[in-house]
Formats: sequence, structure tokens, C-alpha cells
Amino acid sequence: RAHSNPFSDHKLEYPRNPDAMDWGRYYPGYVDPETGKLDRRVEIADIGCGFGGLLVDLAPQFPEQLILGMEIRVQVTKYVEDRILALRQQHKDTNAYQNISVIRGNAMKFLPNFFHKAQLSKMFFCFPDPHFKQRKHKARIVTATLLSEYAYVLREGGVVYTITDVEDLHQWMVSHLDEHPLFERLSKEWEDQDVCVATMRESTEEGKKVARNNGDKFVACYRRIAV
Amino acid sequence: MKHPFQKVLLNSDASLLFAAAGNKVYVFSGPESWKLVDSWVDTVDPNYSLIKEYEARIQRYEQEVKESGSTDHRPPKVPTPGAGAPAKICYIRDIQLSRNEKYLILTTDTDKAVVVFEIIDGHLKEVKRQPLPKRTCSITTSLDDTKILVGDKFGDVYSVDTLDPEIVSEKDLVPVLGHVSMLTSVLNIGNGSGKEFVITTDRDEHIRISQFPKSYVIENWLFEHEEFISSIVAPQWCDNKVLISAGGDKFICSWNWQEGSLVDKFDYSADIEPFLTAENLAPSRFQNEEGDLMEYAVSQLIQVPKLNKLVVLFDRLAAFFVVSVSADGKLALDKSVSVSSTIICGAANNNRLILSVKGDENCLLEYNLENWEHKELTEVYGCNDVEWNEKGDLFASFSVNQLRKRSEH
Repeated sequence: RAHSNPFSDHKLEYPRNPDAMDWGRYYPGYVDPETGKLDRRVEIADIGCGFGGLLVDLAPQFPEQLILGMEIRVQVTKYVEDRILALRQQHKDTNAYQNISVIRGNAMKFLPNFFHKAQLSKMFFCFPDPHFKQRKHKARIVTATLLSEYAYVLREGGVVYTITDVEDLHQWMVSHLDEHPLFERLSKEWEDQDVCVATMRESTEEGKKVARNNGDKFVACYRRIAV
Repeated sequence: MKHPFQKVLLNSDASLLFAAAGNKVYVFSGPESWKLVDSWVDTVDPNYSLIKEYEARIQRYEQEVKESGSTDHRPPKVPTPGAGAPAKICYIRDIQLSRNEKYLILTTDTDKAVVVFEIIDGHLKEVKRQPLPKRTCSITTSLDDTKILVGDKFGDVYSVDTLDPEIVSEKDLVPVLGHVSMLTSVLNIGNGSGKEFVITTDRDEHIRISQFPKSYVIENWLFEHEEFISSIVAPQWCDNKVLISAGGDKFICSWNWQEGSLVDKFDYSADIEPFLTAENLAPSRFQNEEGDLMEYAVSQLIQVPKLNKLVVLFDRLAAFFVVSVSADGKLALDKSVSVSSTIICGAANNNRLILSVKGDENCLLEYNLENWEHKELTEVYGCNDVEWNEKGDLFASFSVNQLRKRSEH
């Protein structure tokens, strides 16, 4: 299935609160043998990570940071899981790809169940579902009201990355982020020097598809600012 | 059969009783004997949204005809519900008093509006009526009463100016905050040192604390619930520190909401056991093999400041609990009281508790919370002239248990 309804009561597993989350299952390479808990927290989240292209490319760029993909579609999540497990197996000698993982979840409903206040430094929204119909706009992943939740889990100075090939959706995301008092747009110059922007443009499956079709890609990045 | 009161409300000295049956609200003055002072009925057509849609279509059609000059298209038909369509039940959904008790605020199902009345000697004078995009669930007012905050079934909260007569078009209303879940309550509270917060709860176990009016700044989430939350209260005697929450869980939570910590958790599953009946059996689709799975929930928390206690009402139960709340939020069961019939809703103030119960007549009870004596408010119920002749289980629609999540996959 290409789509999943973010409003329905899927049988989703989500922790009762961020402390109840068993992260060891997802990042076994970072479990402290004494406490049985992770020695660090997830810092980078790819919301709606799709087939995991961005995760895989970010892994070597941020070897010290834990990166999590969230995906609502069961089969897609399963695919990414297998992909990561295979990569870890192939790179057993270097312990590469231990820092990426994927979780099936509804980020629009349960993000604060997974992450503490100010836990994240980067959030990616790559080629989100455009939900063209007017009455479906609340289902978009970037809305005025959801941005407050993203601002809650992002630390000050943290960055929201957005990319889409749908110009309408790009304008929508820009207008909502512009209007939100806790976000400030980063300049074109900043985008040009940022390694994640380059990765985001090139590495996702959607991004590659758009490039093959010679489509446009619209990028907008915003910094989480103080209240 | 008469439509029971689905909402009752008392002012702080219990001299005015507001009771809503169907789409009508009554005002009684008391407290020694309740006398009908005024009533108001929502006269907006139940098919309001269909009519509005039709009007918009007609307008578009006429515009097209005017522009193209052709009459190829037929004019749109007047939409009418089909023969088998269920009866459109329109309620007064929530009723609240402003904090200064000068205004009565209610929400309607017909045009999904917030309606504000000035209360003059118990009489209602309509001040404004602001339609909203979605059906509302809960209302509160800002601490200074200048704003009304309304939570809706779509998860959004809108801020409506209490007295400004200007009505904003539904399309131009922008929510001040939102959940991706049906909201179940909205409550503004102060922290005692001049800061104001808005607390919102939803069907997905969430309690969110946001600043107000900067409601885009989320302070915290309170996590403990495993089922929907139906009701929250901030007891007046707890110095702005304590918040109590309950709903589909077998426990009631008490929070130090400013610190974000759980203070107490009162499991009432053993105490409710003796009062459970066949009415509390889980629906057949979700029943176990033995057929004895019970489902129960707190439907309403009512504070009684004079006694430093809460009255706790439950879904489809002919009993209520009295729970004492210490100044720092510790909970203790004071007593459980059996009632003649299933309770629909209630209101309390001073030492009075008014309960609307299920039944054919005399469905309003008044308890004295000091000696536990009660009487039937026949004079009040006698004034109720809202009839209910539709098929179907009317009382099922008052059950909060329908908020319980049932997995689709």
C-alpha cells in the first residue's frame, strides 16, 4: 500500500512514555553492559523514512549519533529492518550501521511517547504524502499544530529538514513553518554548505525517482529557536 | 418518553441550576426549592451543514450560469436524508459558566457553535453565537474570562472571544493548538505565580500542558494512562498544584502538573466490582469466550470544594464514589453510594450533588453530601418538555465507553 491513514486506530506498539521505551532492541551495539540501557539517546529522526535510503546514507556521516526512521506502513518498515540487519551483518568487522534503526509508528499521534523534550537535533521530512485534497490537509505531516510537537522534541538550534517534489506542498510547509514562532528559516547559503541537505537531495528512493524523471526538488530547512 | 438531562451544572453557591435536555437548556433558581426561571432552545435546523453545503453549491451554479450563459447543468438538488437515515440527534453538548459566573457558555451540535449568554437574575440573554468547523467536545475559559477555548472531535482547540460581537467565518478560524486525536477535555489553569496554561486530553491517553496564550509552546506531557481520558479537574483546595485525571483505565491519577510528576494512582477496580451489572459487559464483538469481560470507565470527575472531595461518576453505573483529595494530591476512597438507577451526569457545589439518572420519570436526584440523604427533584423534572420518540438506545449515546480504542488491524 502506498498510503496509510494516520488517524485510524492501527494496532501500533508505542511506549507509555519515553523512559518506557526499550531502545536496546533497536541499537544493540550501544547497550551499556552494566545498566542494560543505551549509552546515548536517539538524536536524529527521519519521519516517514520510506525505504530507508536517507538512514543508510546518514549512518556513516554521523557515526557517533543514533538515527531513527519512523514509518507507518508495516511492509515498508519490515523491508527497512531487513535492509539494516543485512548491512550490519556485512559490516560486522567495523560495526558500521549499528547507529541506524527503524520503528513502525505513527509520528503524528505518538511522537512525544518516544522522545523527551529537546531530545532531537535533526528531524527529516522527506517527500511526505502530499494529501492534495483540501479536506485531507490535516493529514499532512507538517501542520501549524503539529509543528508545536516537533518544536517540543527538538532542542534549541535543532533543524527541521523538508524536501518535496510537489511545489504546492512545499509552499504549504514553508508558509506554516514561517508562521510558527518557534522556527526560523535557514538561508540558501546554509543549505548549500549543509551535508544533510546534499544527502537528502540524493539519497532517498523518492529523490532518485524524481531525479530520473527530471523533476524539481524543493528544499526548506528551519532552525528551532528559543521561545 | 422524556429526554433525560444530559448535562447539569450548578453555580458556586448552588443558587442556580442549569440542565440541558436534548437541544434545550433550562435555568432553575434555588436552592431550597427549584423554580424554573428561563429556558432556551436551539432552533437551528439539524441539517444545518447540508443546507450550508447546498447554498454554496447553488451559489457556484448561479455563478457558472452567469459567466457562461449556458444552462447545460441542472441546478443542484436539495439534499435530503434518505428514508433509512438514522434520526439526526442534536444536543447541547457542553455547558459551562465563565469564572465570574456572569456568562453561560454552551455548544450546539446543529451548527457546531459556541453560544454565549449573559445571565441576568437567572435569565439568559444571548450575546453571541460562533459556529465552528467541527463538532465540539469540551469548553473552558481563560483565567480572565475574555477567551473561550473549545476542543473538537478533530483534535483542534479554537479560541473564541467571549464578548466581541464579530463572528468569524468558519473557514477563517485557525486552531490555537491541536492533537491528532479526538479531544476529550480542555482546561485552563494558573500556576499561582501569574502564568497561565491550557491542559488538553485526548482519546490516545495524552495529557498535554501548553502555555497560554502562547499555546504553541508545549511545557510537558503527563504519561500514565493506558486508555482514553474522559475527565480532568484541578481541585480548588490544592493551591494550583494538583490535577486529577481519569477515563477508561481502572485507576484515577493525581499529578503535580507543574513538575510533571505522578503523585498518586488510585485503583478502583476492586471497589467498583460490587456495582457492576450486565450493562457493563463488553460489547459482544469484543467479549471473551466466557462472556464475562466487564468494561468500565470514569465518566466524570466533579469537585466539591466545600468538602475537599471529588465525586466520581462511572459509565453505565448506578453508584458514585466520594474520593478525598489531600492538599498535595493524595487520593483516598471516602465512600461509595448506591443510586436507584444508572447515572448519566452530575454537578456539585456547596454540599449539594445533582444527578441525572436513567429512567422513565423523576430522573433528577439531589444528594446532601453531609448526611447522604437524597430527594427526587420532581418539580425540576416536571418542567422538562423535551420528548424522545426515536428508536434506538438513547442511553448508549451517553456512554463514554465508546471512546475505547478497538484495533482495526
